[in-house]
Amino acid sequence: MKLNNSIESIFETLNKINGKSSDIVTRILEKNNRKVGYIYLESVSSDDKISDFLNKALINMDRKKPFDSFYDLIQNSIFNSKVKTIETYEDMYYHLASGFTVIVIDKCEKAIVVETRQKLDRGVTESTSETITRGPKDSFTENHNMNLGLIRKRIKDPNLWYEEVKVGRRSKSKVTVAYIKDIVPNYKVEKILNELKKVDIDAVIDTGYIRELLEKEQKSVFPKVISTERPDLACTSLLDGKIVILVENSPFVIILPAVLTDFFKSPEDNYQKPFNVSFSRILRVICFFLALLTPALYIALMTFNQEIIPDQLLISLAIQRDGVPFPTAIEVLLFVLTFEVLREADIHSPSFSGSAMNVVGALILGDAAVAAGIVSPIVVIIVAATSISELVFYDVDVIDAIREWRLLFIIASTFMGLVGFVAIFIMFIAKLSSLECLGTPYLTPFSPLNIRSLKDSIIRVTRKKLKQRPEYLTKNLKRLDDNYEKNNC
Amino acid sequence: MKKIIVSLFLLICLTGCWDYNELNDYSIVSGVAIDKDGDKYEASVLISNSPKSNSSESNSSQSQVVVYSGKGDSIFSALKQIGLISPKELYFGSFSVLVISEDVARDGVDGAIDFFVRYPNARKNFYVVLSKENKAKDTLKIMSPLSSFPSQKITDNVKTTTELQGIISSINFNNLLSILFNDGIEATINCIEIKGEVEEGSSKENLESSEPKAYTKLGNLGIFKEDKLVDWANRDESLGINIINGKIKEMFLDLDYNNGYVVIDSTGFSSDVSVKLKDNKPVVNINLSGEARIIEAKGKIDLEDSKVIEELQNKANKKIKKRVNQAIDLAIQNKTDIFGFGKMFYQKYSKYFNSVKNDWNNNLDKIEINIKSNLMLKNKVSSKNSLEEIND
Repeated sequence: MKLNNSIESIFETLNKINGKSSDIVTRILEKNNRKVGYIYLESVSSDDKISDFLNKALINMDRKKPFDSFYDLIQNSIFNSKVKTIETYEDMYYHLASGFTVIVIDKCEKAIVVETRQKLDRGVTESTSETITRGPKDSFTENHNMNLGLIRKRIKDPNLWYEEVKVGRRSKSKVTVAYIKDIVPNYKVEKILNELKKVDIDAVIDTGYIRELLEKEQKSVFPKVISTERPDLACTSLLDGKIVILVENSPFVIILPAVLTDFFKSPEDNYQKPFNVSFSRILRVICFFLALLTPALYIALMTFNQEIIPDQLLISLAIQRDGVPFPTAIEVLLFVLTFEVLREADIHSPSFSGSAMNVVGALILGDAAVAAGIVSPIVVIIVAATSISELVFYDVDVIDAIREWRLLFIIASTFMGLVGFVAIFIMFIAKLSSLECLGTPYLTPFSPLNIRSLKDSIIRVTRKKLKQRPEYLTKNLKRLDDNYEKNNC
Repeated sequence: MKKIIVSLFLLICLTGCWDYNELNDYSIVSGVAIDKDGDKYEASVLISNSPKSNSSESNSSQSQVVVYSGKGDSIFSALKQIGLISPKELYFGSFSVLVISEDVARDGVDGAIDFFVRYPNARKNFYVVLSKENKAKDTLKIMSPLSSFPSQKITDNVKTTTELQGIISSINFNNLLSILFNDGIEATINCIEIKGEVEEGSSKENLESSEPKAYTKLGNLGIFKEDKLVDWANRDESLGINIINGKIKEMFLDLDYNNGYVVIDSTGFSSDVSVKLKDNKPVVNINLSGEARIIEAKGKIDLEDSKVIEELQNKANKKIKKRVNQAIDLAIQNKTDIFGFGKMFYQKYSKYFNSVKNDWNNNLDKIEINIKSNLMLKNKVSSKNSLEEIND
């Protein structure tokens, strides 16, 4: 809707749209016989900025300056770097809500908006969800510009492009797609931008919304994008040829496309010795399978295929299990469930009740359950090993995915022993191989096999040997291109 | 996801037709003993997962094993009798030792082992031992302080002594079967003896005393002809048999010398048996070789003298030859080819062997057997003389 040409009617319309919200502040000044009004929302705007710069400028405005119209005069007298012209109520309200102040002038069908935003974020803090021992400690925040800045200051390359899309009918959140122009194939960016433009949703509160919308094609419990709050990880991904999506008001960004091996990597892998990194990644792979398979394997062996267990172990297991009133499968499920409940409770509980949780978890559930003969000690060991193994992963989605597949494995083993176990395992591999994100199969570089990209998958070779970008991400393979300078200038 | 759910439901349809069984519904059998009681077999099983008592501290030394016995015309019916006693189903999936009594072995082990050949749930790599003089059942009962249950003690004992002692040669069920089903080779099985009183050995006190009142000891080889036990080899003959069969990795020999003695220990001992037909007459060449070192010496012996070493070496070789000859004599005397010469002839000269097959065991004495023993006495490490020699 176009703006009216009188200040009073603009104010009236605005109050009608906004229902006379209590945080709307309006004021009318008279200058050179023309009425000038300004509006801002005091909840998102800084009063100091308005009084210091805007008010002063309006009052001390010098008529003698040679400007054609009153409108231009005002626009050029304001001490602010961000001054824009708007013509509709929709634009006006968007800017008001973003912390701008709108200046309306009598008999003008347009308005000037001036940035007077109040600082409503917590500043750059240390990452809490992805803690590391070595490397940069800063993390993304809820401030969109700051997030873009955290990336920009790390990669001072003109090829780092940001493309912004506004998503959400009501929230009108900025979603920025960041990529390095000459590395990322164009069609991938276009696909994402198209996807984003097509999104019709009332509000985007967090990156999770966008991720869900991007992943909707193939349903899978495994994450197909990396979610991180670390700018350094976002930057290394950009340099590899991945695309980063930042969403306003969310400290988490998403990086895509992701493949399974990405989740075995830790942000600090780039700052440590290659051999140690390879060792920890192999350890994570082992943990992945431990977390996924151990309880199911235990059930299969204990209830169907006892002959596989070595003699001594079998007798030891049999003695441990003696007197346990439940079938093995129920026993394991019961305990797995108990652990999940503990974890769920632990995540959301405030830190002061954490120690109480530890006592309940470790002593009462573990020790007392065994002493009471409800579970056998070996089951406690198995569930503990499983749970510890799954916690080596940074990405909470991977942990959840493992948890769900583990349940499937347990059910299959319960009914069919090793045969069911193997059947589900085949299904598991089939499911993983069928996934893809932006045309990249999920099990790359193992399937399809890509020998060159294997250099930084489970094992990482020295940086000297990592002269190429992953083949599955980009056609521009050389990291150190001789023509780089030439192409840019 | 739909497919997964559907296939999970399909799995549910399959329950019940698979062999689901909880581990605590089983009595895990870790040893079986077979005795004879008149015309009937008496089978005993050693069940090793009998639960501990609930006080967890005091049970470490407590007996955790039960021996149940049953009698029947066949092994299976005897085991079924045990089923009546045992509160849980017997599980043969991991049993490790089969003890056969001398009586059963003398009458033929065929009847005793047939069940285990056919029974699908039994693993076929358990050890087979004979019990000499005592009832086989009693050997399962003797508790040892060093192992948690008797059958484990027997298998541990068999495994380690096979490599270190020389007179013991372990035989597992698979090997035994392949010998019994083949022509031209006969079985030898170690015996196990009980020293001390069975009553005392099977009680808890046996575990608590520092010098066990009763214990089991691996003994000499029993010689089979077809499936029947025909004779026992003595210690020397057992050694000879194992030398020829190449089952020795390490053995010691004590040699008398100059009123004292020298003990040599050989490692890497190997035997190479080859067969030949000379003028249509069988010839067997046994080549023995290995290295030995002196591990003990007493008396006036100048070990730094190479002539002495050579003399000792000759003595050792002579002694080895003597043992081998003793073993061969035993085989000829019992008319049983425990070395598998016949099998080697069959593999090399099958036509010839088929023509003499039926009378092979009776004509063992007509085989020409050449024995070459080439034990090298290396004397590099322990070339010190004995104290007596130095003091002179």
